[in-house]
Amino acid sequence: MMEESTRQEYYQKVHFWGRLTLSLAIVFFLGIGVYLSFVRGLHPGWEPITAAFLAVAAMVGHTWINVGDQVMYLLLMGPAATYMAQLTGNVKNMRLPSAMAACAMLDDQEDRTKRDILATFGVAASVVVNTAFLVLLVVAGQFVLTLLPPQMLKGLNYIVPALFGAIFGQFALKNLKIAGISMVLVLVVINLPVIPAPLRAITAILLSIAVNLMLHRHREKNAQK
Amino acid sequence: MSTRQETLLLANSLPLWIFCILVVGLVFAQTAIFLWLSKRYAASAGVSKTDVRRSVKAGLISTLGPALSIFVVGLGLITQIGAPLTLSRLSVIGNATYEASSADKKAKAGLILGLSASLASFGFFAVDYARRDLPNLTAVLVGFLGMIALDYLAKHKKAAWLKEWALAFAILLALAAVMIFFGGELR
Repeated sequence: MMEESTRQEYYQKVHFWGRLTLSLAIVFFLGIGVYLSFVRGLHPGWEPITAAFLAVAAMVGHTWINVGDQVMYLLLMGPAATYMAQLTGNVKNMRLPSAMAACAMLDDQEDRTKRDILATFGVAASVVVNTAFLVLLVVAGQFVLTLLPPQMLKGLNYIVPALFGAIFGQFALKNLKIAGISMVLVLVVINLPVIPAPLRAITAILLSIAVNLMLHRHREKNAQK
Repeated sequence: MSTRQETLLLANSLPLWIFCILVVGLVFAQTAIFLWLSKRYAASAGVSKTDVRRSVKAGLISTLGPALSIFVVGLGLITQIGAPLTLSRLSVIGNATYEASSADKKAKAGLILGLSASLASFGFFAVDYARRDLPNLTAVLVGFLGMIALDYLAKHKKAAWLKEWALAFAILLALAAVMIFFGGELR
C-alpha cells in the first residue's frame, strides 16, 4: 500500500504541472490570433470573430460545461492522463481506449494511484505516436503535394466540401428526423436575403436547436397523455 | 497574386511555424513531465517495470488505427490553411467530430441540442459549398452518400476498423468522383 503523504505529493505535482501546461496552451493559441490581428494588422473586425465564435459555441459549447464527462475521465484514468487528454483531444477515440487498455490487467480492487500511473503511461504512448504521425504528415505531406500532378492538386481543393458532406452524413445517421429538419431549415435560411450573410450560419444553428427541442417537448407531452 | 495565394503564403510563414513549434513542443513537454512524475512515483505505487512496458505497448496499439485515419483529412487541411496551422490544430484538441460526439451519454434534451447544432452547422457549410458549382455539389453529395454507405457496410459486416476509416474513405471517394467527372475543367 502506498504512503498517504507520498500519494498526496504525487497528485499535488500532477495538478501543478497540469494547470501550468494547459494555461500555456491557451496563451499560445490566443497568441496566433493576437499576432495576426495586432502585429500584422490583419484584424478582421469583431463582427466576423463574434459570428465565428457563436457558431463554434453552438456546435461544441456543450463540451465546455460538460462536468459529467470530466468526472468520468478522472475516475477512469486519473488527473495526469486527463490533463494530457484535455490538451491533445481525441479523448473518446484514442486517449480513453489507450488508458483502458493500459489498465486492463488490473482488477477493481487495485490501488487508485497504481491505476492512474499505468493510465498515464498508456496515454503518453498514445500522445507521442499520434503527434509524431502528425509531424510526419505535415513534413511528408508538403513533399507529396509538390509531387502530385497539378490536376490532382486541384482535386484536393474539394476535400473540404467532401468533408462537410461526410460529417453531415455521420451525424445524420444518429437521428434521421433531426437531420431532415435541420437540412430544411438550412436551405430556407441560406436563401433568405433578409439575413446578413455572416449571420446566416448562426441563425440556422439556433433555429435548428429551437425547432428540434420544441418538437421533442411536443412529442414527450403527447406521450404522457 | 490572388488572395488565396497571399493567405497561404502568410499561413506558411516563419512566425506561424514558431507558434506551431510552441504548441507541439508543449504537447511533448507535458508528456515528458507526466512521464517523469509517473516514473518517479511508480515504485512507491507498486508499479513494476513489466507493468510499465505492458501499459506503454497497450496504449500504443490502441492509437495506431485512429491516428493513421487522420492522414487523409490532414493532407486536405494543408492545402487549405497551410502546414503550421494544420499541425497546431490537429495535435491539440484533436478533431471536431469526435469532440462533438461526446453528447452521446447525456440526457435526451442535451443530446438533441448537440446533435441539431452539429447537423445545422455542418449542413450549412455543406450547402454553402454545394451551391457554388457542379464539382462542389458532387463532392458534398458523394461525401454524404459515401459516409452513409460505408457506415451501413461497417455495421452489416461488423467491421469496427471500417467505421474508423469511413470518414477518410468517403472523402477519397468524393475526390475520385470529382476528378473523374470534372477532371479536365477544374479551375
